[in-house]
Amino acid sequence: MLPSVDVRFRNMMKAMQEVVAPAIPADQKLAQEQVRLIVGHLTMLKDQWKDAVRYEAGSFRMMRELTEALASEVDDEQAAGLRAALAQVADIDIYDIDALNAGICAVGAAVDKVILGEEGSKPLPRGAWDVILAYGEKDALRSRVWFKGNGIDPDRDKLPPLETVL
Amino acid sequence: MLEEEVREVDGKAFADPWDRNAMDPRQKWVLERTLEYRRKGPYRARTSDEIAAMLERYFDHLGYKDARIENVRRMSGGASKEQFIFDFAHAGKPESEKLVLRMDPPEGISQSCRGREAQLQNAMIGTLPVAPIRHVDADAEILDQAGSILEFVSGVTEPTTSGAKGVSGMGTRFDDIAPKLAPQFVDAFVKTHGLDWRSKDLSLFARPREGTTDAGLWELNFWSGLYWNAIVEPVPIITLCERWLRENIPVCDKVGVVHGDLRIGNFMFEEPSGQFTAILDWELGHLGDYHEDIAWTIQRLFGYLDDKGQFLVSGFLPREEFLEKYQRLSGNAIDPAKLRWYEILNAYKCAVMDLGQAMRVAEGHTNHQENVMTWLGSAGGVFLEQISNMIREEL
Repeated sequence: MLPSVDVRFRNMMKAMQEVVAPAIPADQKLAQEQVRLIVGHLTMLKDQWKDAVRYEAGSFRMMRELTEALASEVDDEQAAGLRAALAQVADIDIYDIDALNAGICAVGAAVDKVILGEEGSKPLPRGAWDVILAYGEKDALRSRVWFKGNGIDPDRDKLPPLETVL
Repeated sequence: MLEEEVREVDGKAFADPWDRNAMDPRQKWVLERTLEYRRKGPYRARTSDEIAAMLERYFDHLGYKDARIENVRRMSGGASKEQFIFDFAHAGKPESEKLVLRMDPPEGISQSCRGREAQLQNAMIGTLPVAPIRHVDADAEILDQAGSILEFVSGVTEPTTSGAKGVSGMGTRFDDIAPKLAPQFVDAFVKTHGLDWRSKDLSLFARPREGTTDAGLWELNFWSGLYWNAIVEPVPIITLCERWLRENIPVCDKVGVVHGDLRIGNFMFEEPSGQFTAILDWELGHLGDYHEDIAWTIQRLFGYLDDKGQFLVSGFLPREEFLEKYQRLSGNAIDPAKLRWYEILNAYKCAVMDLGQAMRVAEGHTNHQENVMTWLGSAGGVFLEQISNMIREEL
């Protein structure tokens, strides 16, 4: 496509840094801060956009796998609820990022319901804790890698390459 | 005192850990007000002229004659409040003085009450350096938004020579000035937790019962309430964390003032003396268990590794040295199991702020700094990792 997305990102960043930022008066702290944040977000977006659908498809796949694993650890009624949620998202278009988001929300809500176990009245078996924690560790690692560019993660230098977690 | 069903075990009282209504009533009010503000829709950052006009109306209402507001400037920083510095003069005092307006946007990364903050901050006068609060409009009866007027205090939150400029103070390095600041930093915890709060006007605070699980449960209920009201996309590990916390709430043996956010970035000092001039941001302050503050400040995100690879709490002291000094000076023993529960609660709170409230605010445009909200939100994975690791260790 012409002009390419990469070129447009680069040019927006250039304009923010070379035109907008110097034009902001020294006493306009909020505006200065916003420019720095916008450039920061654009820098991350420039590096993320090509993989955004793949990342979200991976998130959806992981949530589905968690739901399947959880269904085999909880009682029949809870398992039925989880499987019903999975059935609802069986035909999702995995190239549509909005559909993927909606799918994550639908299945995730069913998972949350099982975790809360009707306000703690239903026990959560040890096997369920294990599968959720395993999911949580993987999900956290992916998120930290995806947003490594924000510079906040204290262990960002030890994170694996993005390709390994997509 | 809140009435709850209580289970007695070994002389200790345990409320129903799933009773979501067990909460400081003013905190419940904060949650309800958050929903009211959210319904009003998108928010636009106020201009200096708008702030000046609003302040003139406010001081006029307070009875100041010929109130003059000049040089209104927005202060930088802050993920939850809008702050403005301005010059104020009136007929009774024609020479102007610098004051600060600290105002709620409709929503921020956390939600709090300006009235509670003012009571707590004024209660600390004479104990710790704080900016005295002159006026407060907690319910936005006169100001357009809830806010307070503070005296201006000079100082910096990070050395002017520091190259690191992180969001909300994170990433700040103190280096050479650290030895001057470190004792005052520990002292701030000692004095906060040692305050004789029963002798102060803290009428907007409910008091959790000592020897019960009230302190932990109330905090958990506030933050889980904020989360479930804000949720944009389910995050199973946050929900699992809530369940673990409810099933393991510790008894609080000594109720005291908890600052709630005492860490790097939330104190000011003079250069080059290093003398503290103000402890900032009392908005999350409450009556509770001192372990909560200690667990908050020892988080990885609020410190850094020194040249030897040793982690320094808020950039000052190694964790064990910090804990030893605090215990010796305060007389408060650190119970490792309670500290761990509050470490997990605090990671949960951070995850709720980053992946719950901040995302809702960014979606609804109900803050003046949505770009900060999404920036902080992008750090949510850090807390999810901490939650996963800590819960796994506890199973």
